Amino acid sequence: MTEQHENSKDVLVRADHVKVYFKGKDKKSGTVRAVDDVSFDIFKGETFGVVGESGCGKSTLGRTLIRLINPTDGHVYLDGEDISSLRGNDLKQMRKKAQIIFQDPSACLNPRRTIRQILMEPFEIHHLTGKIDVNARIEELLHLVGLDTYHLSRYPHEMSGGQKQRIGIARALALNPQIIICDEAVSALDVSVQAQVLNLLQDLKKRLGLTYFFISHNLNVVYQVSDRVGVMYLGKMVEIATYDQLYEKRYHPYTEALLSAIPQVDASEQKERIHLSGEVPSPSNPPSGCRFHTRCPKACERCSCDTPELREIEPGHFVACHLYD
Amino acid sequence: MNQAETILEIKDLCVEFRTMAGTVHAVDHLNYTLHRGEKLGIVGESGSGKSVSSLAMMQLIPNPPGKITGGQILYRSQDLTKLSEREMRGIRGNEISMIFQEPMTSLNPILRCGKQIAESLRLHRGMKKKEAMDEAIRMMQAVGIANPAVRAYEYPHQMSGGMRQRVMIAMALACQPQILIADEPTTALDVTIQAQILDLIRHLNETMKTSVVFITHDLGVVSELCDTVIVMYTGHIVEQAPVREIFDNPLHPYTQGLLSAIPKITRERNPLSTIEGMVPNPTDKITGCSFWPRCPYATERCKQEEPPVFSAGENRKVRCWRYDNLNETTGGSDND
Repeated sequence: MTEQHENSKDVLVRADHVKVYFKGKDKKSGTVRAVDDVSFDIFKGETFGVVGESGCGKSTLGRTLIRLINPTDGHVYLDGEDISSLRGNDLKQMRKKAQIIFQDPSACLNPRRTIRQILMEPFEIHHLTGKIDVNARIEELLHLVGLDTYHLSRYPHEMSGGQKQRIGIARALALNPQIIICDEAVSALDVSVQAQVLNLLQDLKKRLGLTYFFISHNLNVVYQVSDRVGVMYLGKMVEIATYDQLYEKRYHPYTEALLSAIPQVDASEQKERIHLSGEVPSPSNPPSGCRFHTRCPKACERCSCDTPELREIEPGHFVACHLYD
Repeated sequence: MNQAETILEIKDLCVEFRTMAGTVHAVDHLNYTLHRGEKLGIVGESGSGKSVSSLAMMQLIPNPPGKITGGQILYRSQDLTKLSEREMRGIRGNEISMIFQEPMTSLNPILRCGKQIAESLRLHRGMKKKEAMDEAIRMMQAVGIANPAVRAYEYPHQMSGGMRQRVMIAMALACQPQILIADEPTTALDVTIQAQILDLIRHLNETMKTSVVFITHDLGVVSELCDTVIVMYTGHIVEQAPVREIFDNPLHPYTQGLLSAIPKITRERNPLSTIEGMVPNPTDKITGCSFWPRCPYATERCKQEEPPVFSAGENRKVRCWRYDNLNETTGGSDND
């Protein structure tokens, strides 16, 4: 997978100094800097995984990439086109290229509609019902995600969590998108079902040549599926590397700590625990300098005043930390 | 472990829920023993009966529709299922306490945190208001809440998820219970905070000799924290073993499937192996072993006869016909 995109570095999505700020209701509550100056590329055909603790801005970033949230500043390019300023019909056409799978499958399927109606909706919205054989396409979609045609007349409540998530995936695939954002797509599922859905996503990617932006707080899951991984902390990307690079060496102290905090089943795989004291500071009032310095075991004086830039310290391995200047 | 004092013994516990769709046997003839100072992990997927069994211990099964239909829960030779509600109230929160998964929904939003911790002290220990509050602040300090004298006067919504869970733990431990039941206490938390909470539970277990029943679906957490593991499926224990043995040499096909379905961080990435199918509908009656429709080793015998519990070495039990060359154990009277 790694060699593939190195030979043909086709950028599918480019985030260019993206900032997303949420204004508080009054002066006291302040502005939440959910995503603060993030730049990176996603290549065609890869899975870009993002990990981070809750509140680090990973979901906000994912939604900004497909214009479900408008960036406060900066640009997002999808397939060479700046989508951050699209409006009207252009925006609607763009939506066909980018889809999203949400965390909770029961919350994102309309309980009063049958599976057929749910899967019909993308075609209705884009006025395709007369132009293509929609019923055949819906059946094809169902088979793609491992369900059968008799499921079409069911309602969401008649299905299990794993099956509902498969419907969510089928709906995302309906219009042949180029990129799919998987926002904690398997987090709500049991281990055995989670494995089935992860394998399905991998299989679909190979067959349909999809690109995923895979968001999860579970580093094991992200490692399982990703070609490249980005680590976020308080609205900043602190490390980006390919799977193999990150497996070999993690430069940023936060990445190392995050990895060591995951309890592993295999005792030999358990990294020596790096204890992070305290909690993630509030994104409305982030620490000065490097945002991680308040919890970083290797913090020095410089970290509290200078903000480190994301720099390439090995080919393809980016780190934002003063330790490697 | 053999010498350790037995503190809780569950014998043939059955819990049923009567629903419109039929009767659900949420817990079906459950047997296990908990020793003083032991950390017992109960794992299983949703619907396996792990939470229901712990609610039964606290006599918190909503009735109707739920009901304990058989068996005994012996806490220090006293059968909890026979106690009146008044007697049970003296045990709950005092001798056995519980931490729930979602700290926001289990804390009272309109009471200050310190007062909620002090409540159980005033009730069970008969402390005066001031005295109980001081003790609550001391407990908050013990569970690692910085600046407890200030935070005790804050409301739950002013705290983060990790802090709320610490308040829950402080509340559960205030009366120094003999048994702490933790039902998915870290599932809603981030990994770095989870690591802090696990350290805290481990520390309290060591210093106070509290026995811990830790319910989770995360086998990684079990591997790190527990001494003994019970794997549950459709209301039964399918396997029980000391923690290292279950990971090094899982016997039951379900345990094997669960372990191989977990994504692991390794050099070579292969597709995850999965367990075919899904957990059966709880109202369905499956004859024979309840796992056979998903089991790769299922035989005719598995479909016909329900497997008994086989003893597979010291403190090891497995409920599968593949091990019928081993000695059969009978119910809860085994001497582990």
